[in-house]
Amino acid sequence: MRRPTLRERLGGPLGLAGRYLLHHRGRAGIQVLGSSVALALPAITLLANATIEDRLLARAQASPIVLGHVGNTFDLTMSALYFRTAVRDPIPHGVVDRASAYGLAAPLHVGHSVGGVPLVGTSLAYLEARGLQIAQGRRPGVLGEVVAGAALAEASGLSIGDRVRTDLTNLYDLAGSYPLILTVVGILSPTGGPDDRVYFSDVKTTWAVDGHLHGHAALTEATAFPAEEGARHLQATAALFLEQQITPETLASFHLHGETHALPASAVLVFPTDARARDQLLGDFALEPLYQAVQPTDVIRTVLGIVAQVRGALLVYLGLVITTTTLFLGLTLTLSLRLRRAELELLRRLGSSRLAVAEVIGAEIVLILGGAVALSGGLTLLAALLLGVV
Amino acid sequence: MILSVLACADPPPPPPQPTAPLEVHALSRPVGWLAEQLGGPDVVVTQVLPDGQDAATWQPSGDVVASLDRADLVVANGAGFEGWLETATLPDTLVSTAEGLALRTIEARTHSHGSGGAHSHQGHDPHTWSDPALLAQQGAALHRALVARDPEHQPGYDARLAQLQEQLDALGIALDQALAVAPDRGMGSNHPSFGYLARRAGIELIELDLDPERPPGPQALARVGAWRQDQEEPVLWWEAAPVAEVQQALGSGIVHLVLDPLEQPSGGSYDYLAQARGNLVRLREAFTTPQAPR
Repeated sequence: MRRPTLRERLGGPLGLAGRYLLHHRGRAGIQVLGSSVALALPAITLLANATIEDRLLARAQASPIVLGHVGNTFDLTMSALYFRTAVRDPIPHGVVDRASAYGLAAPLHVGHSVGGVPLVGTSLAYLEARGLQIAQGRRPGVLGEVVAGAALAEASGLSIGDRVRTDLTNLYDLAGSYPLILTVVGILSPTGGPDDRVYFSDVKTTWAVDGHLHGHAALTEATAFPAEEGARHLQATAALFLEQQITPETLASFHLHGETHALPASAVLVFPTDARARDQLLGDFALEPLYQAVQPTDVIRTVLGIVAQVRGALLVYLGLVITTTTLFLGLTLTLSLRLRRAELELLRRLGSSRLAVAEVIGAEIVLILGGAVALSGGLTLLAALLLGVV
Repeated sequence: MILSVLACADPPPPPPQPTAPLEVHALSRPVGWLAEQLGGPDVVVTQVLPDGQDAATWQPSGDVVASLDRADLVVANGAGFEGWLETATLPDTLVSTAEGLALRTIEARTHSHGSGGAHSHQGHDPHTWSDPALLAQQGAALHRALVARDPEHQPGYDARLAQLQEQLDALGIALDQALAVAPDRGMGSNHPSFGYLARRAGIELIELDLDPERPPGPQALARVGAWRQDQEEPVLWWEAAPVAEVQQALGSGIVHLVLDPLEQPSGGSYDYLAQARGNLVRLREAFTTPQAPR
């Protein structure tokens, strides 16, 4: 039986290179990591960019028309679609009735929060139009009841019957509205969108947080200034206690001040019945001096156009990163070969041809790049998982 | 041969499947009665208001409000009668039958507190059904909603609407005749339950805000005293018989006319026409006989 040669025992150039890299695992690891970051960074950046663009556009396409006060269309769209910012000027709720002639119309009253999480005042039409299903409990029935988005409920450990408190909007407004304690009566099924991370209530509940709708006991001699006989106006004193919880016991004392149609809404989301209704709605509101009808797809496409310009610059930057990393990799390899001159000379003296030595060096490069490709693939996959793409 | 031809012929179309009756949830008695009259066998009416409860003050739980989602139509009187609608999350199947009617404005004491300034709880008089003509208009509004929801049964809804309007027209004419001899100024009422009936008959009713079960306080007595001046034989309309203490506190010489406000069943089940005809009898007695009615 023939004895294996030294080359065969070492597993050929690839085995020799592998053993070498294992022996110098620290240096090899840094080379693999550096190369993999250089490869993964552009892939992850482009993936994240594409995912965010797709989501923005999908949300916009699922929100045909937003009505709001004239002004910044971007703020209005972001407020109506993502609930993160309050609009500067609200519109009267009566616009909902007007918009209902064109399709399903849902008011959105944004600006209040519960523990920093947006509290969105709307109507059942919103849940219906967005296809939001109740996973546990039920939908809000009376004032003070809220439903929580799936991700919010999971992150906060919310369950049916929990009490949550609205955030104070202005610490120094002592005569203004107080925080209200609300009850969680339902948890929504997950949708993967911004609706998963907010509380929804009836718009009337957010008016109660505003103070437009409030509860208190009947005025008595102890809580009202004396009135002349026949006077039709009683003025309450500071002793009148305003309810801070909406419970079955206090609910009946809550009442509205003002007309419903005049109370504020940040925006109205409209789902027109057909293309004709959409065109009519856009046409009618184009003539309005105070209100505007915005198509979120237009706004988002404008934003994405700006992002595309930024993306061009980003691609140049990423190209420079890759080039620089490649150059540094080449430099470290060259320096490494210089340092290993005696070692390579030994291989030659042992009888290895120049080709065999080159094969070993080549195998080292292949192994480093292979490891970098595998690691960058793993990082990209992880990013895709985190972004919810896979 | 004939048999084979028959065998090859298209089978006869299956008989139309009877559709399930509409589920209508009524939030107060008069509109529940309207839904029963108009819907006939094509609807199943569920009265949401529990027995013995006043629609104006009843407060349903969130569970009850959410259960309205099961109904094909939810019928309310509106105009502020079902006070809880102001704080409830309502399905889009709600039909507010008084919407669009020419409503009376009733005044109430207002108050202010905090930074909100003066505000008033005055609003519209919700007792629209006291005038049969207004109830007929509410019936027409409900008819439109029924037809829109269930066009298949429109002929039945049309026929029943025509019959209902005929009955309410006849009742209205009879009430007009009974009130034609009533004094057109100066009568009082303890509550604005009959404001639309009085408006229909061209009668001014002075609302005195009295409780039939609790003796009036000093301010209420002062109002009654002011009202009684210049009245030879003052007539006071009540939605429930005043107890003896109340009558005594108000003094003698007042004719107490007790009418059914038609908000609740009188006796067994709610029947608007039968109960309104009872009022008609009492009005005829009050204004055609010299005896004080009871």
